[in-house]
Amino acid sequence: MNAIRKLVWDGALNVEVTIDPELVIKGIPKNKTMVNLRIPRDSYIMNYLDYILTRLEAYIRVNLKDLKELNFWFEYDGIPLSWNYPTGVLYDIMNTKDVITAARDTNHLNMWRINLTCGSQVPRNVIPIIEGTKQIEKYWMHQWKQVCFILRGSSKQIMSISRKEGQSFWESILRRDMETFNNISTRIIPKKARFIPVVIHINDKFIQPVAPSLNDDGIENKVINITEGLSSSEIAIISHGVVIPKKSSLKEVYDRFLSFDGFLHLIIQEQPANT
Amino acid sequence: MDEFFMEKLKERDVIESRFSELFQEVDGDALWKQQQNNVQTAGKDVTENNRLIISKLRDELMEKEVELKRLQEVINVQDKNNEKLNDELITVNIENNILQEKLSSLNKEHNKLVQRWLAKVQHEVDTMNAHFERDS
Repeated sequence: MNAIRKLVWDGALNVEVTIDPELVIKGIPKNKTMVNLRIPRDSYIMNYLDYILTRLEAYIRVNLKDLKELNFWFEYDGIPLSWNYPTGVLYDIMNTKDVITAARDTNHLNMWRINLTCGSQVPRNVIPIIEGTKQIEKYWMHQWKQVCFILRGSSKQIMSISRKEGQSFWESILRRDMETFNNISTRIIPKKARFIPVVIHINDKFIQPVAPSLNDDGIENKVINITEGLSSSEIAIISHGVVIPKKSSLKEVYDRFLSFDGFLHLIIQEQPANT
Repeated sequence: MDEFFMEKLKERDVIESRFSELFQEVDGDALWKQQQNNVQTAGKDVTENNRLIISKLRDELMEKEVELKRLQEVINVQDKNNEKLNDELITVNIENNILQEKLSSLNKEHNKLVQRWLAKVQHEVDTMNAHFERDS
């Protein structure tokens, strides 16, 4: 299982970020206004905002400190991306077709082209960032409190984590330190959970179903039990870019594929009728 | 099942890490320090790009200066027009006052002449009546 966790933790995407042309000095060639990054699937894309802006600082027409008054968000194909989901989840939502029919051609470059946009008002589905990176950390910690409550029926375990440990926990995400992350997360996640924290993404919406780890007969719940009835057509369930067999045990899938925010994100892709 | 997942994840990584050498890995330590201290560590390639940026900024500055000059000229022309218009207004006002004075003096003269003419006619009529009375 550790090997799977390692693969999940290390998963990363080739991302090309292009900055809003409005922010760039007139006449600068387009290739100078983009950054190519390897972004871990298991991280918030907003964690990289300051890094991207610093990289492109030389070509931005205003001073970075003046940019703080603007709201930034990422867009894919004109669709704003909700930064509050892991980057890999956003990629899988937007590119489900690619995940399933992924090119096996060795010359195929798998790259995600996104735009960094700014404005005085954020789009409807994007949480505005007012407190900078501190707000992202707080949001993430809040997610873990929810996870702890769902798993254990109380948030006591996470509340008992010291401030310093909480800091190390967040630090482990930014530094990609799996060992520290595992040390702290295993203290929050019990061996026998009452409910499983799951977020299902389907058709631009998300659902947080009540997902008991055992059904009424005391048998382990399967992934299909929480996804059935969501769509009338044939579906594929994807997590971390991998199609999950529908009859897998929900707890086993959770233990292997949980994201850095403690939730198991499942992306539902409706299959065409003829496949 | 673990073997299945391992195989699928490895397959995913093969696809998603193809040409990853073209994409920069973000140094986690630097990211952490940047977020902690909010230090804006400027890009290392700034110096090599400075020349290009400065020339672009200079171009922009030149454009702005030309525009500024043009707008200054427009303001000057408009100021002159404004002055001219004011002068004309004053001249017309003075002319109007003079004409008003002339009109009132002419009116007075006209009235005087009418009075004198009426007096003269009265005198002639009186003389004529006196002749008629004497002859009859």
